[in-house]
Amino acid sequence: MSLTTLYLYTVGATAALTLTAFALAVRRRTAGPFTAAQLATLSVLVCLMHVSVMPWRIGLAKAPGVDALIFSIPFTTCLVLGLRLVPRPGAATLLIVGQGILGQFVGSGPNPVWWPYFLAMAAVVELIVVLSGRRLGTLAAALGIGAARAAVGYSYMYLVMSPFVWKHFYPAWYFGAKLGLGVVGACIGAVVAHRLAPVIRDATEAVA
Amino acid sequence: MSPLPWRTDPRTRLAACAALSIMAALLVRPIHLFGLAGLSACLFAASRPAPRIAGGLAVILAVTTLGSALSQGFFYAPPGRTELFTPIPGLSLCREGLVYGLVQSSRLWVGLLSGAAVIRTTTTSELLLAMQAFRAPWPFTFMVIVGLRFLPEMLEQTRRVLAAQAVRGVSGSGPGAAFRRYRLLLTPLLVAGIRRARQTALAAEARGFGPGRVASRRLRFGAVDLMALAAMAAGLAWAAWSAARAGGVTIGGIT
Repeated sequence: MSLTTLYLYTVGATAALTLTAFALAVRRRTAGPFTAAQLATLSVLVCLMHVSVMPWRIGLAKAPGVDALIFSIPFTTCLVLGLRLVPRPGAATLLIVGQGILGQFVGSGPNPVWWPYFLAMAAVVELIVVLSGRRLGTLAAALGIGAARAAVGYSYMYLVMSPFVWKHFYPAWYFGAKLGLGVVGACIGAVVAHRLAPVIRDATEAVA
Repeated sequence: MSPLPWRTDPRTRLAACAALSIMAALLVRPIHLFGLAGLSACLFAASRPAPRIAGGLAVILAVTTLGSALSQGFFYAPPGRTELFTPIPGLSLCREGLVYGLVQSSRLWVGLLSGAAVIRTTTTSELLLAMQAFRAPWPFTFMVIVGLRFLPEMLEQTRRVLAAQAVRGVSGSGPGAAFRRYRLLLTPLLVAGIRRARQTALAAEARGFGPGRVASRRLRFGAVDLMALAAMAAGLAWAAWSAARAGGVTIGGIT
């Protein structure tokens, strides 16, 4: 199978997952438009996510062994915090895809080839958000969101995007190490977000 | 007279960057990739960057190239590889991989150089107009615009909070101290950022900044835009044909 075919298959799978998540959200009557305040809150988190990953975008991702762990902690913290502050379907897509597109506009320029990568991570997280329902505020949901985002993100990156877009190839042990470190970092980030969420929610509600 | 990239419609600039990035993913032959990187470098040069900006981008390109060459030098495994250096048994740097990584880094140059050209020549208001013209979903448009507005402020605020922490004696080195500083940084940064962003959002909403907003300026394609769009369409068709003819890349490596 050529990489182009594999890439197109993943685009189809991502579209199917996204549609499933939003169909479930509509069926459970949790979908709806965002208010300006919710969008502003998510925008700040998107900015913070981008600031956290900036050093890795200029090439430090090549630092052997550590980048996956360190990158995942702030990214997952911001993602889980965003879902705690705006706990509704669509927020994960806005955070993950928003960060990706903002990163493209201030970094490498708009590149639609990468959009399925952002959408794939967002689709999996959306599905977890919709299925979690009222349990979204638990530590288990935070860990699940963080670990799933990291697992899908690193797998998609090293198995599809990197060979397809950059024609870079990596051995299985390297991919496994990155995936493992990414998931561990994401779990640490999820725990940090779980602990910080009540403090930040109280503080932002006080100022709102 | 302003340089050519500034005279084009912002939609043309965004489309050019996207087209070049797609072509960089599709093309296989090194000469085509270097040609594309050269074209992107010309676009960046036409945006008349200050020496400081060009220097900064040169550093980023150098780091990216080095990273690409080293990673593929270690991991790319063609048959009959020439080993140059073996830091640990089973992991060696090979000449073919280094050359392969250097060639493939040109794909990254295309994105970075054309992206830098677009960023230098496109204002936030032009970006907003272009996103509306492309019928981008309103929440994304809103988030990107607010994000672009808040990004410099967020960086400045981060510096301020870190300085305040240093004054208050939050110090130490090592992963534990860094983690503690990170946790202490997040709360003030987020609370202040969310408060400012909500105020800005309410003010913008009160002034009619919403999905139904009617812009005072309308985007129009000129002759240069139409020529550029035709060139992009031809380039994309050629890249797709070239990739199909070359047989593309299989999961196992280059065919």
